[in-house]
Amino acid sequence: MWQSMREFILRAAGVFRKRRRERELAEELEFHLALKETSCRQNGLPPSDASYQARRNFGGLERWKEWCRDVSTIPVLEDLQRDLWLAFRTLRKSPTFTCIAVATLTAAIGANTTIFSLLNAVLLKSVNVPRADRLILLRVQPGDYGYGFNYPWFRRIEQDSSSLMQVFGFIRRHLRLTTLSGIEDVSAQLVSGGYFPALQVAPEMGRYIVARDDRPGIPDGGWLLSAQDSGVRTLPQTPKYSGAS
Amino acid sequence: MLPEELSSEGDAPHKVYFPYSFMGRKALDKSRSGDLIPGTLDLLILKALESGPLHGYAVAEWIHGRSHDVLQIDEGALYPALHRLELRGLLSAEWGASENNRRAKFYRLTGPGRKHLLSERERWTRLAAAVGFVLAGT
Repeated sequence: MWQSMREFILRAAGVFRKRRRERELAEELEFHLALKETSCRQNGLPPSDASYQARRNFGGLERWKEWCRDVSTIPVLEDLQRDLWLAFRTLRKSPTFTCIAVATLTAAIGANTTIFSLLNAVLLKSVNVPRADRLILLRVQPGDYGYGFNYPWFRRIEQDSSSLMQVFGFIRRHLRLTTLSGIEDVSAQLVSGGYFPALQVAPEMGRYIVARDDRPGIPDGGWLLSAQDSGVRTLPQTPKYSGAS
Repeated sequence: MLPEELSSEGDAPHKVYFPYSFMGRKALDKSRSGDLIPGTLDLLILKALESGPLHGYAVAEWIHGRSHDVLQIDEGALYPALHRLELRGLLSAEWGASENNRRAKFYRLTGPGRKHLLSERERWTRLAAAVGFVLAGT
């Protein structure tokens, strides 16, 4: 184990000692060839043949150098280092392109960061109500396509739950509101009577629905608000609902 | 000595190949890898250095002389093997003056290298004996 670790560390370090490594490698192999050549000459070969034979016995010098490089460094790291250096030199050669690329990247990264910060604050952080960390969302099947509970089941949980302080239900629906001024399609959320008390939010005016409103029919008027305009206004007339059941 | 001369007695010499492609760029040529049991070259190198430090050329000469020309080693293949054994801590290397007063890299067996040599030699002896038993059977 320690041998492999040691080998890996030394090989990684070898990437940064390239010049010295190359010089020593060349020197070592040349030394071998020189001795071989001497030995061939001593065996009676003329100098030109001795040199040829020494190199032939040795095999391709460059090939062995390459193999030595492969064992004494991590080629992938070495390639990466070379690629980065090439990229750096190319960028230095064309400063206009580099400036545009850097500016584009800066702007894009900045914009992304800003949008994410915004989304993070608005959507991803917990709901802005007291004790938001104590809220639990129950679904029949978790995930993007999970199903909610049907009404009787929800009621049963609401009545029987002993481990939860308060239970409330909600579901997103499109509703059509009929008022004297016309028909309005609104995106709405249907909630059970426990919704607002459990979330501990107070209405701007009037009152929210509460547990006693959990019955068929229209609650007492005077508390419904329209969010169509930026300003909040009370509806002068009690609207009629359709599409919700 | 040329390869042709080595094989002049009729039997082809056994090639000892460099068995690694560890984290390398090139995949090892499969047709070459199975010729002799991997690790044999390591064993031969470690054995050559058992009696004292040697440079690469002397290691090649030692193996060449001791094998009575039966094992033929690509001399260049020694160096990747030597470097790898050095990286694994089985050998240590230092530059010194050779017999002809040139600067040469000398390899020395380390403590772990000696241990490795013993275990590899044992493994090799067991293996050779096992093959011998198989071949002796009728």
